[in-house]
Amino acid sequence: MSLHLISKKCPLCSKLSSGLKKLLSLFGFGLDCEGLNLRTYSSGERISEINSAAADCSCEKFRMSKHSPGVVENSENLALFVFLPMHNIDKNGKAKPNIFSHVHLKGRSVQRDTIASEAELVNFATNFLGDEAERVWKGVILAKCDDVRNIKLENSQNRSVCVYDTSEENNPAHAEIGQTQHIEEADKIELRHDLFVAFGNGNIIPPSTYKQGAIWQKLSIEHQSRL
Amino acid sequence: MSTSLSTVAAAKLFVAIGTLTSPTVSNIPEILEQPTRPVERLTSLASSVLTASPLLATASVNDDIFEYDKSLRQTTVAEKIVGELRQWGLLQADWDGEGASPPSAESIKEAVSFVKLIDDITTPPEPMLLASGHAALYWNIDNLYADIEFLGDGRIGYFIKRNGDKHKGVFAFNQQEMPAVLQALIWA
Repeated sequence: MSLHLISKKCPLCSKLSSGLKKLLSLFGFGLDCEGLNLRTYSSGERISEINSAAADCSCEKFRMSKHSPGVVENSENLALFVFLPMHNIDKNGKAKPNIFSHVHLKGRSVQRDTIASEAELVNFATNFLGDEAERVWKGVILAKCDDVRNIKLENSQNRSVCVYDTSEENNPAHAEIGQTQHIEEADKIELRHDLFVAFGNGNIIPPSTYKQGAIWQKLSIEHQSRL
Repeated sequence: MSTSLSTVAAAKLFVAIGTLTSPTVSNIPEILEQPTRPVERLTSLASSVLTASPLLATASVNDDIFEYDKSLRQTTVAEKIVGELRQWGLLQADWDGEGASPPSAESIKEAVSFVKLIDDITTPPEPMLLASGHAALYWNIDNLYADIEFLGDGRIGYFIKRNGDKHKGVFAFNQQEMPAVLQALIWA
């Protein structure tokens, strides 16, 4: 009997608590986005953990790192650097939608193209290429942050992804795209398609053209020769 | 003397035909299972060799015949896709340098089964490996965009856009027959 009463009572408590949390989080109360970023950094379920603690992209409104130059603005451009062999490309030389599959679990890393300095982007590309001779920088795919944040599944009013400012010490222009809690299993593939469209249908801007070749020209001869 | 040459040529022909029943498949690691060879390929290969008597008669050593055989047996598109899918089985966790999960053997097996069930390979899919370790197949041709993910538990997830119409879902895949819904949406 007492169990029955408890089970009847709990859903209401839970709803109230959840509603209160949402209201508070709108104003930043109870949210520790920097701490959340650090705690989930190495987790294979990072995105769902962020969604559990800060639903509906609450942490977009706050810096998630002490290295951050500020939250990601809607007006910014996002650049996804395409490297071989990890980002395999199709027979027409375009990126494939699997490049976005990290949005479901750990977060899709991108660079904040609008605010990143040339030196930061050169440093980022150089670090990723490293000493492994098979690693090649093929170029970038670009999207407007606003377009990415406005992605909604068909017949849904809910946003599909969040764009977080997750700066790193050696890469201040680092940001991450993660799916929201509204994405279910059957929605994931549609989401990859929507991101693919937002990022120019996978059309890769070659290094020699991206920022008028400014980043490319500052790479080492050895890194350039891999293309 | 001429009789002796004819005997040699006949012997070479015999050897050549004998080897036709077990050609090797290129570009696929030996550890992987050999795919079934299309029968029509064998028929055309056999008839080509049988009608190529001038070449056989002038061949100086058996190696020439074997080289000729290899050039006639190209790896099929489906075999190439299957080869790529199976090679992923050799990858470890973090294969993309961004923390991806190791490839799922069950998901790869499901994808291989699916490719073998494709009748019309004139518009071949592109294989993809996802950060989750799942295998997927992808088409982006003219009015067709299709992404099929093999969930590794006997189910397929799909999103298909054809002529502007969107379709998505998750359903069971028995690996024995092509799911009717995908047959209709992709090869309509």
